[in-house]
Amino acid sequence: MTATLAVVLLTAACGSGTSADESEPETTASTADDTAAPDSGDSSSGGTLVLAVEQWPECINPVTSCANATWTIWSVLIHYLPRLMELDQSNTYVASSLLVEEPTVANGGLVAADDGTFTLIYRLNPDATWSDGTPITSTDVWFTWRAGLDTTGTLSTIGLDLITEIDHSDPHTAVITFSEPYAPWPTLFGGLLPAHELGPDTDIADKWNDEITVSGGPWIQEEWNQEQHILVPNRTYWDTERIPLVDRVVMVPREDTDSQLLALQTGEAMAAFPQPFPGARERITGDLTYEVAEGTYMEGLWINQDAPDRRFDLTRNVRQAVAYALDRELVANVALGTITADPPVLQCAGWNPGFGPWCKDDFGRYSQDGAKVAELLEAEGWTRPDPDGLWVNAEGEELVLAWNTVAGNKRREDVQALVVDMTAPLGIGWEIVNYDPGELFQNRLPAMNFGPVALFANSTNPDPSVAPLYDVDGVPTEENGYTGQNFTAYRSQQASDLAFAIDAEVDPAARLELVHELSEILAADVPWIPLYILPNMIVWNTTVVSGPGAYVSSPYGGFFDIFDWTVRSG
Amino acid sequence: MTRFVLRRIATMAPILLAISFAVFWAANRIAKPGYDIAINPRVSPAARAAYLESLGLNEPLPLRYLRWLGDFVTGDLGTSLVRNGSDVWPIVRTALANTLVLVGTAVVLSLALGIAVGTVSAVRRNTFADYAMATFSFAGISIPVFWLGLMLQLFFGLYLANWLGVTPPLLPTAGLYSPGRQGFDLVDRIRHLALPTMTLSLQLIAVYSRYMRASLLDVMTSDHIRVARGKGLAERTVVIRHGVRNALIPVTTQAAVDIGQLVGGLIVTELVFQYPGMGRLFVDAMTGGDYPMLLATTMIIAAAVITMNLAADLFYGVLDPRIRRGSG
Repeated sequence: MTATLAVVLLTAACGSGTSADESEPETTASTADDTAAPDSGDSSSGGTLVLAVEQWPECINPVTSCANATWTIWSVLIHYLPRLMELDQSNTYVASSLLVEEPTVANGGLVAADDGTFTLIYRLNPDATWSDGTPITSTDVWFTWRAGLDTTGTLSTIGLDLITEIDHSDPHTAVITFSEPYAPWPTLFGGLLPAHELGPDTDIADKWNDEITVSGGPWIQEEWNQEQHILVPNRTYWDTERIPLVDRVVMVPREDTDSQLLALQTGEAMAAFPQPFPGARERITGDLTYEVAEGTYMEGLWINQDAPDRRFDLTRNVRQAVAYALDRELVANVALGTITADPPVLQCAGWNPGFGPWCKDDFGRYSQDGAKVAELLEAEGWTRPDPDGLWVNAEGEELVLAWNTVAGNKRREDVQALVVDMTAPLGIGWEIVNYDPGELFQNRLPAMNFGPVALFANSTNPDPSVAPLYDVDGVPTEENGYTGQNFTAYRSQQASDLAFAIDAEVDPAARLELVHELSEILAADVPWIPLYILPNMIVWNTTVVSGPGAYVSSPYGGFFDIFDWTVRSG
Repeated sequence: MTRFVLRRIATMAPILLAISFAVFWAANRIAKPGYDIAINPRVSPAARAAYLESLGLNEPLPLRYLRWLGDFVTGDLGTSLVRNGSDVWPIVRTALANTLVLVGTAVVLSLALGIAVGTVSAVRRNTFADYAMATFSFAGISIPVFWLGLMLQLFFGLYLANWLGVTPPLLPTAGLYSPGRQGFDLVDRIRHLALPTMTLSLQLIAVYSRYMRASLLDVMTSDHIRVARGKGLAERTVVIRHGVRNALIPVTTQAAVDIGQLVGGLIVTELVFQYPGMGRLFVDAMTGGDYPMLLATTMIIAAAVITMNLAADLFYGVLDPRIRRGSG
């Protein structure tokens, strides 16, 4: 699961995209002290920016499992590798400055041929160069494609394996042919590789493991090792808007929240992008301030309909009854109330609202309603012999659900305690069985040996792909060697067909319609119950640094825009 | 003496061999090498198979063990699975050097102070000074390392620095060097070594001082001390030249054993101070599923413990001929 989620982020981070909806998604930004917001007027350019980094990559190769770690992207790759398409501040894919224009059907950049193939044409900015002066060309696009496929231990070949050819005869035009329509095309080529530096061998497993020698981004790497990462401005960067304002950035590992806060308090670091932690509103004081916003992970109750320990079928009525038994607003408050005021309830049926325009208020219909719970369960023969007791089915089984999450995760255990108390008066009981992360995510989840209810974080999004999540044939089973990603064992042919249609629809507006159609089905069928979005948080010292906060909810991480940050001199 | 040494060395080999198999088996169970890529549905089956084959993970465990053992004894510690293709040895070497610097500094400092405190305690037995030092020692032994480390960080890094108006603090709270420092800088290195050394030393000083006190009290009742006193030597000379010298034997041998154990035992201290030593490397290897690294660190830690125990025995034997004779 960890690997899968990281890949989601990676593909997002490596992506580009288009959207018919330019509206800003809802965010929940709040600051500990609005009056302490940085005053850029007191800042000047130059100086050294010191950042505390929560997870230090073991290696930084952009194609292999090194890139599986989110922080490899956030702290290293995002600053050096140019993207064809990139996410803007509202997490919508737009053309990067590497492109002359965004490929669209109208400008001939997206062509679905009658023979079933799909052609994508990128027109590259002729001014774009690598930091050594070599132009960025379509050969680099070709090389990136081949490196993604040919490198030993490649992290992901998804999408790349549908490409049959990349015509790079014109250095400023990459003509990419897919064997079939591939809707999440913007997610590909989010980190272009320099063919002249890494080629001609397209297996680059043994290259760039501890240094990025050529940059196509705003920074040049001066040093990277296990103690620090030093970035200096790429003064020849063609995107002059993003030429860094400071002279140097030094990132240092501070691998837990307390260490990061201490480094900020002692002045050994100026900003950090920590995991949101309970009590943040009380602990971040003085010269420090913070901002939180919807992050890239959401937590919910995932219902495993194939759970070996289930005592009864997890029918749609049962799933809906559980959804109606929850006061999700209170759950969100208990989970996140010490981090941010009024944390929002997640109502989106299948996706993280932080990504693109996909979300609607699908789960808004579910609020705590005892009468609805009774109606749904009674319709399937459940009774409640003791009005203060649990519901019982015709076989005499009580409505008790085994519930797993990560042992020791206080936020989740608090949620469990709350929900147990919350649903008891409505006749629904829980059997809490928590595991350490390795047991839950490496052993039980892939083998579908969990639940039937589990509480954990996920980051799903129509990009790059929907089909695996809802594919009726994609339920991990012993017969298929537990491959597949439909880990709720949700078997709806209608949802499955729609999911495949979404993946094949390249017209953004039409795709959005399909996504909303699928969302409606998901909200009705309740294969999972969304609870809340885990916020992202950035903390900084207002007396020494200005600028943080713009990308706090971005899949690119809160340090993405450090080219725009300034430090106070002297 | 030679037979004694050879016999001790001969007993090390089977112990290390048994440890190596246990470690290899456990590492494969814990780290599950190649697991991430094996379950990653975004990798094509062909690419997955090629990767697992490139790592030799498609072979039976005993065969892999023998291959690994052969490589290990010839100095090839393999390549890291997590640090994509990087040789394990240079990474372990760097971490080992960092740990040895910390352990060496702490043990030397602790020996000096522990011996001094223990000597004063013994000489001034049952006085206020003795009681005060005993209290200090018991406190030092009792305080958890992680708590002490955090307190030192807060005191020196935050409160004292704020009081002095110094930013960043004189004694940094984490890392090997100040951010941005490139190249070796002795002063900066010492500053960064200060707090982890203090954290480690407090407990060691406490232990060594108790050893020293007990040992010196024992020695001071022995015949040769009475002879020395009978010769009319000054008490100071008796204590230092004839008492302390003999009392040092158990303390210094204990220090040798400690060095071996601390090579892999600084996990908490290294994590608190973000110190890139063997403890952190071990934890990173275990949590990251990097089994070649896990194997290498564990074996080196095990070898360090056994070797330093051997060294302690030999040292004892050199200092106390009765040991040699008794075992020869």
